[in-house]
This record gives sequence, C-alpha cells and structure tokens, in this order.
Amino acid sequence: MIFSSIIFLFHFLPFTLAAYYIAPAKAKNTVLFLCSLVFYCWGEVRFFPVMLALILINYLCGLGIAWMDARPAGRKILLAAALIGSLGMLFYFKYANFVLNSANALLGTSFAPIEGISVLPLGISFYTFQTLSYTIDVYRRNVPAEKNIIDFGAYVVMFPQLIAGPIVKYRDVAAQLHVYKHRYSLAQIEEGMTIFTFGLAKKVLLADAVGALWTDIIGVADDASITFVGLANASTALVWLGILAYSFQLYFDFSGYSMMAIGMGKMMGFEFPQNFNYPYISASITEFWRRWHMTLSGWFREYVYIPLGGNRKGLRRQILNLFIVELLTGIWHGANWNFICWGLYYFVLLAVEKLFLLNYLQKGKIWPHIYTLFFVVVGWAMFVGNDAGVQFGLLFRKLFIPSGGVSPVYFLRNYGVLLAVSAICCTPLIGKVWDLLKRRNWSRVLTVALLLVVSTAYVVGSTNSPFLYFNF
Amino acid sequence: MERDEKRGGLLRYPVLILFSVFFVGVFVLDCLTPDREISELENTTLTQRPAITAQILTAKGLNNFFSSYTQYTKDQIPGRDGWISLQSFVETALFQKTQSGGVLLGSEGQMFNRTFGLVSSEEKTFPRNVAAVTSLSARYPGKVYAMVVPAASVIYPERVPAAAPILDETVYLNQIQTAVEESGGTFVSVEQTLADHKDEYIYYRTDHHWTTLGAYYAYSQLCDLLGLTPFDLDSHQAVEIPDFYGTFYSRARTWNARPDTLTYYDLDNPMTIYTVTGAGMPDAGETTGLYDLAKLGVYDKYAVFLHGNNGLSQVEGDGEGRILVIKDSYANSLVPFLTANYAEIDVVDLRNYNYGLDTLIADNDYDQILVLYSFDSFKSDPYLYRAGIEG
Repeated sequence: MIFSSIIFLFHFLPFTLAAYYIAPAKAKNTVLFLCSLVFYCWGEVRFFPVMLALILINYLCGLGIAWMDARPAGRKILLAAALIGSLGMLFYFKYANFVLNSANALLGTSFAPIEGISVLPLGISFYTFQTLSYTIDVYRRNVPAEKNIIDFGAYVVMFPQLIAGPIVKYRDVAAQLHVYKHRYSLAQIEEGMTIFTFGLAKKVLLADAVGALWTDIIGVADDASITFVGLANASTALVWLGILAYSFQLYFDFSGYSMMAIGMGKMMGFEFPQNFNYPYISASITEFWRRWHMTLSGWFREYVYIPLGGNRKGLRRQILNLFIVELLTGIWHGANWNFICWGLYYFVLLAVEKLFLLNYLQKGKIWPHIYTLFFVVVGWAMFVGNDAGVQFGLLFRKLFIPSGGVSPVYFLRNYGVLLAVSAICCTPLIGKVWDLLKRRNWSRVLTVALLLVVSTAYVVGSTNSPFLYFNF
Repeated sequence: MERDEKRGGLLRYPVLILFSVFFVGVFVLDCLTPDREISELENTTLTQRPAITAQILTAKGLNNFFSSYTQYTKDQIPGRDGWISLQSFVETALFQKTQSGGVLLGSEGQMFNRTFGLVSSEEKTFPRNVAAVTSLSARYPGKVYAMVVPAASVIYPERVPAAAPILDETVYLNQIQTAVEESGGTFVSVEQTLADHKDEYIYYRTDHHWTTLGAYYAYSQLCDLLGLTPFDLDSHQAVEIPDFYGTFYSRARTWNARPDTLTYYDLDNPMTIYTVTGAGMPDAGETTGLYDLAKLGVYDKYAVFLHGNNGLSQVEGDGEGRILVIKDSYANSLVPFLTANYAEIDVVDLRNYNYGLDTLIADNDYDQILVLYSFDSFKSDPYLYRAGIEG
C-alpha cells in the first residue's frame, strides 16, 4: 500500500486514525500495532513471519541484554545474535542472489539463484536499521529495554515510517510510546495534517509528474506498451534534461514520502526526525550529505563511523572510516554494482573535500553550488544506471560525448512550467512562500484545501506510480 | 487531548477540520454511492467489491483479496470522472502541458497519439504483419489491394506540438509499399490524396479515426485504380451527429476539447453478421442494417458504423461482383461506400476471426481483396498474422 493510493488515503488512513483516536489510552499502541501489521501485509502476506521473527529476535535480545547487566560476555553474545539475526535476514532477501550471481560471474562458479525472493519484504532496509538502533542502544545502556512486546512491535511496524523512513531510532519515540494520556494535542495533529498534505503534493504533483520526462526517454519499466524515445535516440542535451528531471523526481519522491510519514507521526503524537533539508542548495558534497536522507547518514555516523574512531584517530584512519561508511551507504541502496560505484564515487568526493577542497569551497560563492549540483546529478546517473531501459555505459557516453538525436525542445516546452516549479520547490523560497500564506487563517486553509483536492485529482487521474524507493 | 481545549476550541484548528472532513467525507461518500458496473468514458468494466470467501485463509487467497480490493477502491472512488478531468485541467491550464493522458494536444484542437517510436512488441508485430500481407498477395496474385492509412500527424505535421519527436510513419509506409508490390499486390498509397484534401474535415480532432469524408477520398482513389464509379455523395442523404467526443478525448479529458461531428450516409443495404465457428463461410447469421443507431446515444459514437468490429459480416451492395475487406475499424466508415460498386461485400476483422482466410476465399471467389488498416493498428495488431496463414 503506497501512501499516494486511494486505498491508503481514503480507506486505511481514515479508519486507522479514527480507531486510534477512539481507542482508550492504554489500547492505542495495540491499535497502532495491529493496523500497521495489516498495512505491512497488504502487499505481500508471505513476509508476515519475517516481520514477526525480526520483532521477536530484537525484543528477546533486548530483554536478555538488560537482564545480563553484570555479565559482559553474555551481553556481547546476545548483541551478536541480534545483529546476525537482523542483518542475516536483510542479507538473505536483499543481497544473497547478488552475491551468488557475482560469484558466478567473477569466479566461474555455478550457484543456482535462490527462488522466491525476487520481491523484497516491504521496507526491510528501513526497519532492520530501526530495530538495530534499539538493540545497540540497549547494549550501550542508552535506553532501557522494552518490556512490553506490543509497544515494541508498534515501534517496529509503525506504518508511517515503515516503508521509506525516516529511520526513526527507538530512543526518539520511546518516551512518547509510553505516554498514554495526552499523547497528542490538537495543534500537533493540525500541523501533522498540513505536513502530510505538503508531502502528498510533493509526491503526486511534482515527483510523479516530472518523473514522466525521464520515462519519456527510457520507457516505463513494468509497462512495455508505453512508447518512449529511447536512450540511444536521444541527443546529449535531452539526456541531461532527463537526468535532471530524474534528480528532481528522486528528491520530491523521497522527501515527499518522508514528509507524509512525519505528518502522520505528528497526527498520532510522535515526533519523527527530519530527513531532508533542501539538499540541492548545498555548497559542497559534504554539506549535501548533511542535508540528504539525514536519518540514514545519522545512523551510519552513530553506529559505524564513530565506533570505528571517526576523526579521532588520525587522517588516515578517518579516510578509511569514510571509505567504509560510503561503501555501506552504496550497498544499502541496492544489491548491484552501480550502487557500490555510487557509494565509492561519494567516498572519493568526500575524501577530496576533506583533504583540501573544502577550504576553497568555503571561499566560493556561486561555483560551489554548481560544482555540487553537477556531481550530485552525475551521481544520480550512476544511481539509475542499472534501471530497466538504461544501459550504464550508453548513459555515460550520451552524457559526456556530445551526440545528436531527439532534441530537448519539445520536452522543455511540455515540462517547462513544471521544471521551473520544481526548481523553486528545491530551495527555501518555497518555505518563505508558506510563511507568508500561513500568517492568515484563510490563506492557510485555502492552500491546504487546494493542495488536497488537486493531489487527489492526480492520485485518481494517474495510474498510481509505485514509490521509487520500494526496492531499497 | 489537552484538557483546556474546551468545546468550540476545535474551531481554532480550521485545517484540522478541513482535513478530517475531506478524508472522512470521501470515505463516507464512497460507502454511500452505488458502485458502477462500467465506465463508459474509460471504455472499461470496473472492478466490483471482492467477496470475502474461505480463500482468504491462504496466503495466496489473501494476497488476491488485497490486490482486488485495492483495484476496487481505485475504480469506484466517488466522482472518478470529475477527478480525472480536474487533473487534466491542472496539467493543461496550470502546467501548460501539450499532452494529457498520453495524447498530444495540437493546434486547432487536433489531438494525436503519443507515438515516439515502435515499442518492443511492435518491433515483432510490424514485420510479421508485413509478411502476412505479402503472403496473402502472393497467394492471390493481382487481387490484393493494401491500404494502410497514416495518422493525422502525417497529414497535419504543422498541428503537432512543436518539435515533438513523433514517429515518422512514412518510412514504414514505404516499407509496406515495397513489400506488397514485390509480392504482386497493389499498394493504395492514400497519403498524397489525404494531404491534397487537408483543408477539409478528414480526421476527427478528438478521435483516432478518419472522418467519413476522409474515408471517402481514400475510397475514391481505390475506385480510380479499379476503374469504378465512386459513390455519389450528393444523391444520398447525409446525417450529421454533433458532439462526438472520441477516444483521444476520453484519454486526454481536456476541458477545452472541441467536439467532433460524425457523418453517415443513410443507406438501407442489409448486413448480416455471422457467428463464426470454423473456417470458411458460416451458415447462420443475423441480418440487420449498416448502422447501429443505438450507438449514437453512447460515448463511443464511432461504433455506429457496421455495428463495431465483428469477425465476419456480409453487406449486400447495389453493384456487381464481390470484394473481401480485411480490416481494422478505419474500414468501418469506408465500407458503406462500397455498396455502390459491389453486389456483396464481405468484411473480416481478424481480431474476432480466429481462422485462416483461404477457405473463405475459396468459398466465395472474390474479385478483389482489400486489406485496410490504419498504420497505428497495422504496426501493433497481434492478429493480422492470420491473413498469412494458409488454410
């Protein structure tokens, strides 16, 4: 069930919220847990046991670690069990076939691929990291172990952030999960609804619409009957326009989803962390990663980079740590070589900035923005390089060796207004517009009403486009 | 909730009220409004509420239930048509797009199929269909006339949105022509004829077909080739049906679409629609007229011609000899004109005729065989290959 679908918006969400608000204080987490399980199972029932196993492993290990407070060896074994159990499942579903295929290709072995796991369990990359944050925090004694399995389960499957983040650490919401009375205020609910509407609009009015420019070029992966230009026929200028549109799409799609999640969190009395902070206005790659998918970079910083020594053990060690984190970031995004390349590409950029470039970037005014955008957009080309309809080599030849073909004129004409709106929505300007609009009640209500109605029209009007980050 | 938020305090949160009323409102409307069986505009049957059966106890059954329920909510959302029109309005008026719902919006209200190239299935069907037609003309030397009609974008390139990378059909039309002529058939190239009459109303603006007048000019060209005297337009009663919104419109749904006028010539020639159960000429059929006037009351008014696309129909004409027309829906508005020239016109639509043609041709000894397709369906039709099958 994706958020921008009719079933979610007009059936699941009203029903769940009503049940949640009506339920007695003590039963709210149970309602949240059960509704979230339905949400999780809606797409694929088969993976229900996966979720159950993940909850049980981390719940029991958490309890055990707390219980063995005085026995370091026992604590370590339980932590290892939770890590192996959680990461093992993630590995099995997401990476096993990739590793087998790669081994076959590189070593000439002939392992048969594992059947039945071509579809990933919904959101497994996100909730695996969330549960790990819990167990590690319990081990570090940063939070007390959760005794109530319903409360813990409600945290793990909580539907707003289940499939696409933000990656909410247990300790971010633990306190609120145990507030039974006055968990939310009307002001908070209203704010949540506003943020949700903005997120929905970002997803359906911008992401899906501007993404159509990219699929005009490469085709629609799961619908071969839709006509397209074809990468090989497109001119270099058109391919750049297309990859720019894809960059817009990826940002609006992902940040729109995060906003919907944050909004729904607020509606239920939870404060989720921000996930995006205008990443495309960054003046360096280092800054970009502080503004893009902040909860993922935060997770890696806290649970990988700093435990490895961060920047406290000399420059060489710092560069090595950076390498490890960026490699893992690449791998997290998908089981394929292009994602690994993409991760290492950022390692190189970050290392270069750390070594000398950052000083120059801080003195520049305009060029650091252009430099950042350029490398980010090229990064997205690498990111999308393995998608259906895209050949990695061809895409980069098209981008960097000027060639003729279908010109971008028609596409600029057709998508021009949308591209301009998209560009504005990538900058804090759009925030300033909202600051103006929300000063008066009527303009505030009108804005939300308009966005809701138009977004609904788009949800109904377009065949729902599946969320891009589904496979991650 | 906060205790100090007394009754009436809710009014301090207008967005909260709005949001709740909107979502609960749509939800309640959805429960109250009756479900529709079909969507005439979308030309499709709509999913009904899936029944809860014992099947949902299995994982597969439950998955099926979930996915059909999702489809059901999509299809039965209250005001579906209105929402779609609103999206189209925002797309075209606010975002100034030159396409909507996969339809290019050209000048003069002319709409075009968004065809940027052959899709992968068409890379296979196109050569297969060319081979089928050449095989047919090789089997019946001198008898086969192939007419493949270009889309409006070929005749009105100036109306196509600027620089749109629309497929160049002429390259493919030339390929078909060469292949047909090499196999001993005649290719009726109507491109120039239609271009000569481009100032007239020969293509619908909101539908993918040519108009009756466009069909008439192509038909006249065929008559020239065969030495026949064309149907006399002036001596027949033309009936004009205004407010025709065609298939392009039902995809584009633009607020400012200019409706078309559909014309047909009132003829009382009988037509028999056969129930086809095997190769050759069937015995049983139902006799009716050339036009299904009931279709004038529905959205897809073009279906008035020849009662839609039946597998095999036979029209009694006023002329001499017999002709077989193997066709897509472009022929439906042309066939009535053939009544002036032939005594018997047999019409085969291979989409609904699951056999080879040789037995039928042997049974009837046709003077001519006309293969008439629009290029758009010629490149993609998965059934035209049947014309190439012997037997």
